[in-house]
Amino acid sequence: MGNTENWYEERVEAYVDGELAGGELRMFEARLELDPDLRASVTSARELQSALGALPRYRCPPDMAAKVARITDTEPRRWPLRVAAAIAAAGLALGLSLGEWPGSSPEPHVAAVPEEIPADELAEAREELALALAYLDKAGAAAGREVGSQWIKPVERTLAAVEGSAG
Amino acid sequence: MKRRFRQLVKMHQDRLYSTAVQLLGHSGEAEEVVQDVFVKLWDHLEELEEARVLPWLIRVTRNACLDLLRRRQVHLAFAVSGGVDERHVDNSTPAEELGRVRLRDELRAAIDGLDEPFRSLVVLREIEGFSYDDIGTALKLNESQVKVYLHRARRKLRERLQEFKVSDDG
Repeated sequence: MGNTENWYEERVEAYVDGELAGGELRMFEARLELDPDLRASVTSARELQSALGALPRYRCPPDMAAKVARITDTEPRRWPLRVAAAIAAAGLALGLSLGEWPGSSPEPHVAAVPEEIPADELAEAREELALALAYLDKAGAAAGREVGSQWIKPVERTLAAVEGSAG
Repeated sequence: MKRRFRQLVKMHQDRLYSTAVQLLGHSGEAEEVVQDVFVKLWDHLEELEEARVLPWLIRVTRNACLDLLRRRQVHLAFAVSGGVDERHVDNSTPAEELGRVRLRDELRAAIDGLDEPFRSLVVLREIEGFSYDDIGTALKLNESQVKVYLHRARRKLRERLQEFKVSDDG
């Protein structure tokens, strides 16, 4: 399929979605009057839109709210926060005590990453890592040290590499 | 924090549940997924800024569903799952209703036949109506990528429906 046809299809979808405006809309509608193929494309796009719109949506079972409300009877599990804070603090203390910060950014090492990483675990790890990095950044700022480029970027590159290998 | 959590649950539970049902084809599993998602929300609520909550919920829900599907290895077809309770009332004739049901089943099969991320995008945008912005943030795609992928997905669905109409007319 050529670019022209893609462009044509995209305009049809934009028209059906109500996203065309001004001169573009007027031009499209003028062409619609004259072009039976274009009208057929619009009809087909509308049929799909209508069929998708007719698919059922589902409501939560009525007892869901009560079940979920029970979650708040327990304290949030903060262990990742504590672990992240401990790691960040240990890293910072080590860096400060040695008077050293990593001067170079090592290449990401992803060989030890398991081949199959469940997407939800990866997402959780990403959230927790972001938290750890935020702590590190905050702790570094409190100590008057710029840690972003030295500590955070290599970790972010590693994470990107892990996500690449998992994807 | 409890109040904020309950407000968020109330605000998002139906769409997240519906998304999970669309992706899993099974109401019981969808319910478990959504409960797990809310447990995670409770654990992470303090760290999440308001604007990040919905994309985070979408991402965690989708990831949990895809993970479950991978473990299950097969996509349960809606027509045979028996796990989805659908109720609606209208005044159509039996023939019209039959045509609609067949079209719906065909469309459902076509959506289930899409690869990721096309399938999730169709469910999130076309069926559940999440914004491009929230979907893009959740799936780590920019708005233009979301639109291009949706365009490709729609084309595949149109082709499939066209084939269905031709075979149905014949």
